[in-house]
Formats: sequence, C-alpha cells, structure tokens
Amino acid sequence: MSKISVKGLHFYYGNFLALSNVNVEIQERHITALIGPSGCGKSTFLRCLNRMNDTIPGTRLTGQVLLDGKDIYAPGTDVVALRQRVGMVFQRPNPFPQSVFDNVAFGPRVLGLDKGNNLHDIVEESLRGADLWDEVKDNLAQDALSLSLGQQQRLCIARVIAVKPEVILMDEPCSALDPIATLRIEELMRRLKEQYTIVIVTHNMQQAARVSDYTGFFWVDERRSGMLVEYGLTTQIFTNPRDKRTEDYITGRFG
Amino acid sequence: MSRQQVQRIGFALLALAAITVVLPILLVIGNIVVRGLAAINWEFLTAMPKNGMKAGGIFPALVGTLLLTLGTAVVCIPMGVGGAIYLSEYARDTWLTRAIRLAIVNLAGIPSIVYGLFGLGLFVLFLQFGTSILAGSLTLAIMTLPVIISTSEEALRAVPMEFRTVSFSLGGTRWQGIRNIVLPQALPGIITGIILGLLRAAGETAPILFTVAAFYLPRLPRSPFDQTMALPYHLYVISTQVPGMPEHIQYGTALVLLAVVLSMNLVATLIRSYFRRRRQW
Repeated sequence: MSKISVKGLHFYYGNFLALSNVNVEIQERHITALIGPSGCGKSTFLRCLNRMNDTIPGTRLTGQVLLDGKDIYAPGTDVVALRQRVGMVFQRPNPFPQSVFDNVAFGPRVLGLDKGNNLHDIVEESLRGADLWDEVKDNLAQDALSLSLGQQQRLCIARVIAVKPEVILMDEPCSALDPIATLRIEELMRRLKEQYTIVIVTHNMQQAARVSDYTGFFWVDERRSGMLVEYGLTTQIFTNPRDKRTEDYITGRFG
Repeated sequence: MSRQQVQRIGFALLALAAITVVLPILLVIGNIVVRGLAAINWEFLTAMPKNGMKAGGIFPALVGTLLLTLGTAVVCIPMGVGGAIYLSEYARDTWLTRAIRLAIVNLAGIPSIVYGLFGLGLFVLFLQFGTSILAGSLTLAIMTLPVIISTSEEALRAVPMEFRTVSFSLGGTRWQGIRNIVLPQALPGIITGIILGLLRAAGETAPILFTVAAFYLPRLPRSPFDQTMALPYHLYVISTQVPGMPEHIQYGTALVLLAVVLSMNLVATLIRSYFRRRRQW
C-alpha cells in the first residue's frame, strides 16, 4: 500500500528547475532508498516530502505530494502537524547541546504530547526504539555531545521517534559514521520499518542494496535538472535495471 | 643580521607595544586606588554629603547611579534583545532591515553628549518628564541599545542554523526553536553584551548632564520623576566646580565609580569564560 504518492512534481530554486516531473509511490512500512550522483536532487526531493524546503526563500513547487491521499501542499495544510507525521534524520548527527533526556523530550514538549503522558516513559520508549537505551539509561542527564557519533545519530533517531511519526526521512544518515556504527543504524532501520515508512537518501550503493526494499535512481539531465530515472524493487534495480544509466551507475561505470 | 636576531627584535618591539598599552591603565588604576583608599569607609559609602560636599559621604550619588543603571536595564534589555531576535531570526533581508542595521551601527558611533541633548529635547522638555530619573534612564537606554542589539544579534547568529532546522523538522514553531534552543545557546553572549552596555551607561556623564543629574541633592530620590545625584557627574562636580575640595574625597569617589564599573566588567568576563568552556559546537 502506498503511503506517499508523488505526482508530477517539479521543484524550482528561483528560476532553476531542480527537479523535473517526479512520479513515485512510496510503500508503507518499507524502506525506500534514493540513490544517484551528487547534485541530482535526491536530498531536495526528500525535503519536499515534509516541506522542509519551505524554509528556503525563493523555492517553488508544482505537482502533488499525497500523504495518505491528502496533498500536503494544499492550502491550509498544517505544516507543524505534517512535520510531526513525517520526521527527519540529518546527514551529520546534530543533537542539541543539551542532555540526552532533553533532546528526546524536545519534540513531545513543543508539540504538547507530554500533557497527560509521562515524559519519562516517552523518552525511555523512544531510546529503546532507537536501540540506545541500554547505553544511556544510567545517565540521562549527560550532555548529548559527549556520546560517540554513532550514538548521537541513534539519539537523533530517538528524538524523531519521540514525536510518534508515520514516516521517517533519512538524509545520508551514515555518511559521518564508521562501518560498525553504520551497521548498527542499518539493523535499527530494519527493525523500524515494522512500524514506520522509511525513505533514505544514500551515496552508498551497498547500503541501498542491503537495507532497502525499493530503490529510486535519480539522474541529472543536460540542463542540470534532477529527475527520477527508474524506480522499483531493490532486487530488480540492482540485478536487472531497465535503464542504461541506472546500470552504468550501479555497476560503478561513473565512479 | 640573522633570522633569529630579526625575530628577537620583532618580539621585543611587540612586547614594548603591549606594555605601552597596559602601563598607563595600571598607573591610572594604581594611582586612584592608592590615593582613594584612604577615603573609603562605611560612612563614606552610606552617608549624605555635608558641608557643601566637602565632608560626609557619597550615598545619594551611589544610589543614583545604581537606580539609573537599573532603569536603563529595565528599558533596554527587553527592547534590545527583542530587536536582536527580530533582526536575526525573523526579518528578511530587505532595504528596511538594511537601513535599520545601518542606523544601529551609526547610533553606536554618536558622541554621548548628543544623546544628552536629544534626551533633554525629547524626554525632559517635549514629553515633560522634567529633569528626572525617568528621563535620564531613557536617555541612557537609547545610548545603550545599539550595543545590546548588535552584540545580541551576533550571539544569535553564532548559533548554528542546523539547530533551527532540526527544531522545524520536529514540528516546532519558529518561536519554540528560538525559545528552547537558540536563546539558551546565545545567552552568554547576550548577557555579556548587556553588561558591557550597562557598564558604559553607568560611567557616562554627558547623557545625564541635562536629563537627571543634580549638582547637590543630599537626599534619596522618592519617585522616577525626581532628580538624583550620580557618581560620574558628582565626580565632575567635586573635581572642577567646588574650590577647596579635599583630595581624598575626589579620589575616593573616583575609586567607587571605578569599582562599580570594573566589578560589572569582571562579572561579564566570568560569565563569558564559564560558558565558553561549556560550549561544544
């Protein structure tokens, strides 16, 4: 079943067409990987899915992004509520310079989810969900920045889980991490997809092949506009790509 | 000459330059401390001046300066920090905000006597506050605002953009991100700016000259519409306007003013270094 349907999406920075006619159905409770060369618009596309591009002046979008059948760009959409439903994990681990507890509690606090619920329970549940609880449970007051980078990234995932989203967007979440920490995040993602719909942008094709169920391949045309060349089951994209460019890219012919 | 010799001479010249800067400060402070210390006692700090200021204490001037600094703080902290938040977090880059920034930079460069005359015209005469603590505080606040706005804005801008983005991505409003993440991070810088601004206000004579300062008023002010004595002006008066003034009272007054200002400076430095050690981004 598709959680997000993108229909005829064009995205502009000023007059520059950054994404051209993207159409894709993102499946619920599966992992969708977006791959492609730098500058092909895959991160821009990811940020279209929770309207994070709204914060950049001079951007414009046409087409539709339907979340559970409702266009998130329709006038009157509650952007705050949307971002609660569609959370985001960034490239560089970026916990707030506060305690572990306050980091996870930030979302529930600003959204008012802590009223009537025990904040400590939400925090524990989220840290368990992000596979970090056992490492931090003895000292939730410690500064988040004293954790290792891998732990910091799992903390950021816990921070997202704490607002109880439906979709988690991950923008190259492992690019700053070592292989062991990367592996842990990948294991975590496999577990998370039982509950959440995950879309991940990655430069690491092995990672896409390892964790994702579906893969989208982005490419830039001669006007430097990004487009989705091919989209399908990961096994099909990696073993039997339909498009020549996909095949060249995944076999490493572009380096 | 060998390279090492050139280097040694260079270092010597640089050290000389540093000493030339520090030495006069030490001499001034040392001179005031040595000659002023004799006048300092409990009575000097807590008694009214007597005998046309030639005896007694400086209590009303000390209280006046503290009241003026407090009044200045009450007006310019919310306005200054609020303005900085607006400029750094909300305002788009338009001709209007560029004009505001330009105005702030220029305001910081205006001589303090001009603020004094402006305060006389606007607060004392036009708004009919009279020569009063209210008029003096407002005048000092206007003078202090540019300092507080520009240091606060700088402190806010130093907080990485990423934190605001993350706050958005978690469903926070712009204000929630500012309130919960950006402001706490910028606070040490903001507090330092506030103290440095207030410290300048506490030591200025020209802005209070026409707006609040009393030549000789041996009682405490009873309302914001009262005049008051103030340390900088009092020092000016007893140093130049009263013949036969005992020297130890002059130096004692200078020492108290210096102590008020330097202790504020010290607090600012301590706050800054405490938070700088904790900051990790």
